Amino acid sequence: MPLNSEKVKKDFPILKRGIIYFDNAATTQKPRVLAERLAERYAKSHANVHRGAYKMAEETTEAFENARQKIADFLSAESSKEIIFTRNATEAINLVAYSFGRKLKRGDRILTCVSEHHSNFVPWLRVAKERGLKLDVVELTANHNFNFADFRKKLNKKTKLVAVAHISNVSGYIYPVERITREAHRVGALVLIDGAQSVGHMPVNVKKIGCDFFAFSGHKMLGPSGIGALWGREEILKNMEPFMSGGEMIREVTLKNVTWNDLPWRFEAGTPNIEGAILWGEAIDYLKKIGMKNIEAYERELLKHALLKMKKLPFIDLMKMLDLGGRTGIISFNIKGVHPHDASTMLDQYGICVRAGTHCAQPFMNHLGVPSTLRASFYLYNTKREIDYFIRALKEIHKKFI
Amino acid sequence: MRMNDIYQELIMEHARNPRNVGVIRGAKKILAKNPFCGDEAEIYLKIKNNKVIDIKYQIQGCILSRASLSIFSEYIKGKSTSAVSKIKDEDIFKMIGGTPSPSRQKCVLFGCEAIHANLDTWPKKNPSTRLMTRRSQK
Ligand SMILES: Cc1ncc(COP(=O)(O)O)c(C=O)c1O
Repeated sequence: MPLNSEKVKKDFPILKRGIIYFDNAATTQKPRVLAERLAERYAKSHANVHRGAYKMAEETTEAFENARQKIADFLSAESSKEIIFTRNATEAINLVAYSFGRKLKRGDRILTCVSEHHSNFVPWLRVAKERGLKLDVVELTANHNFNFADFRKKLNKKTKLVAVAHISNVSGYIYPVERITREAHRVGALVLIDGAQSVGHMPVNVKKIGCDFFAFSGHKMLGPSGIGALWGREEILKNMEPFMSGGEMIREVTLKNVTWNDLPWRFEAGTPNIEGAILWGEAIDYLKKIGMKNIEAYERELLKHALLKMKKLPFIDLMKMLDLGGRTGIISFNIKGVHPHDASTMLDQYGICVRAGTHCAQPFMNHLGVPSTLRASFYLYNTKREIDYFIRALKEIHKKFI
Repeated sequence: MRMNDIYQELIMEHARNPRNVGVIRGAKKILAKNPFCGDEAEIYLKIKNNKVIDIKYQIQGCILSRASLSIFSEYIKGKSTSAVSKIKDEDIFKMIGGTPSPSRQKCVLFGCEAIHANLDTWPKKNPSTRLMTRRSQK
């Protein structure tokens, strides 16, 4: 059954504020069920996980580990051991930069892309500087998509890790992660995919992609903020040193020595975001009920509706990112002659929330040759009616400022 | 006072016809940058006998930043450096006709802050507004 957005909308109490929320690439709104479950948990069952031997501690541990299983299943992972809870995608990437990146040696190379979010760029720049590694950067094509030819040219036997996004948070383009992984494995490099913009917007199967690490955040897929995860291939995680140290991640500690816990807890020092994980599991249940294929198709419909209308407005600069296919519901653009911050303040006066700025992707902005852009990004609770209103607002704003 | 529509007449008029745009040869050049959006200004200050005798600038920025720098430059021309250094964020908001929302305050202030920082007496400004305007870059 196709997605009924008017019905979906009713599940999101915040939308009653009378806003049009087009900043979903930054973070998404939460369905009512999350707040209900949270209230229920705090009222009925709360304890620390993996510690107490009493009933309520066991209940909480079970709910927490169930959530891990839901997330593993959502990505078609081999086992829940491969899901490491973090605060967000950024921390997941930093975990790999610390535990894997710091094992690399002078002369080794890391390959990333000019369009990456700072969270999948700065950690690599940093380890590269610290360890004397070489950071190679894939350029983009003329319409700012992933340049596969350039990727192949820059990939070589010295490349130990390829770190690229599944979907760019600026262009919305879906990068060819399966082909990227195949090529990278051919030279023996591991592959980290930054899936912050893909999980929750399309079906994702890490086994099919074939990658080695996959980082993502709960808050960008209807879940709470403060919880994210790293998926990693078990045989690789097994041989990696822990990231943070403390409780939970150890097996045995003496005054002189320490041994590490099993996966995934070895990488989860300290009390985790217990409620965050459990509510993230609820968000996944909600997404599954609607169906990831439906969500993907609906988002594409919204994108098409908006792009076709925006292309007709001569004062809108889409910066050559005109493709209707191969991308999700993200549109970066500018109103010619109007500064993005002025435009976003004006849109706010129409009740429309869009992002203005560099989108945590300054190298991408430099590549585009603009200081910043506007960005509208859609999700399952947005509607074509909202887009039509947005288009009218763009016209009026242009008229006011020019 | 809070702005409902910050793009009122005064702001739009200054953004369209900014005062004191240009360069002053041989004067001190100040670079100002808004880290939030990458907007930039080059400001030239001529100070003699502790008095701002001339100011010119070139700016690439939003309406709010262009208008604010224009209004501020008019205001400080001819004033003593000690008087200029006493100007607080709130005074600047008054000059432009209202307080913008937190995410836009830096647009108004970044040029003025650079000028302040380059007067000899760097003022200790109201800490609460300093906090509000110090926004980091994600
Ligand atoms: C592509 C991409 N990667 C990484 C991140 C970082 O996500 P988080 O801030 O949740 O760690 C984002 C979110 O802004 C993103 O869009």
